[in-house]
Amino acid sequence: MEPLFKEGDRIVINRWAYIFSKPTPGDFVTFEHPNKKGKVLLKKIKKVVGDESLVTGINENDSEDSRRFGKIKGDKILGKVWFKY
Amino acid sequence: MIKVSLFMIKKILGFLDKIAPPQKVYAHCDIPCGIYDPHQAQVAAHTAIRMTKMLVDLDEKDDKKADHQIVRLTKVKEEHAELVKHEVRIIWGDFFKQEHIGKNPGLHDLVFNIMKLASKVKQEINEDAANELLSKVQEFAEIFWRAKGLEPMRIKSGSSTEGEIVSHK
Repeated sequence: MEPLFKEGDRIVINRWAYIFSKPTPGDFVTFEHPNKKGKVLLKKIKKVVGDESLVTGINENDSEDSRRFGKIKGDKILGKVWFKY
Repeated sequence: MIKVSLFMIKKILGFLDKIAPPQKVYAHCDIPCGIYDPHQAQVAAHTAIRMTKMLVDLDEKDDKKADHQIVRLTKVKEEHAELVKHEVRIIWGDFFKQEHIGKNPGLHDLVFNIMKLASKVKQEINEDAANELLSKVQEFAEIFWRAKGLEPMRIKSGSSTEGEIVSHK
């Protein structure tokens, strides 16, 4: 996700961001890896189809994302990135 | 004033991190090096061929020497056949994406064959299997370079197997 997020950056996520609104393309979200329990990923929403989001990394050529593990359901999103520090 | 506020927020967040460490999140599932090359798999396949050939040609007049040499050659053959499997698995699992599979529908079968052949090379002293393994790995390398948008080409390996290595133009 460099250069936007670098290793060691700390981020604050809003866990209630999608209570009254829906995920939107361009949002950065965190969610548990669909195939690796306990591993939380940070990706950008590229497209929203119904209740599911297609997520990708910024560097699409090097990213493992929805093209490999499929779309992410809305209830699997842990939160929207609020800011980094 | 804004600078002071930001400084204070950072200090407060830093303090909160100490009493309640934040959870780790990953922007990538593995190290995002983006560096993949089927060269190592091919070199390992060449080595497996060479070790197999040396085992076939082994002079067994001196039992002790022969035993010693069998152990050494078999060890290297095992390691390099395993290396073929490792290198191919990494490229298959980390580099290739669904769009590549669409263009190369035989890729999964090819990788499956490579895994099986590499096991056979480990289990037996079988020159045909070792040569077939290299041939399949070369085929895999050609698909890889095409997927990277590069035209593959075969060059002489220059090694004692006198075989080829797939590189690109």
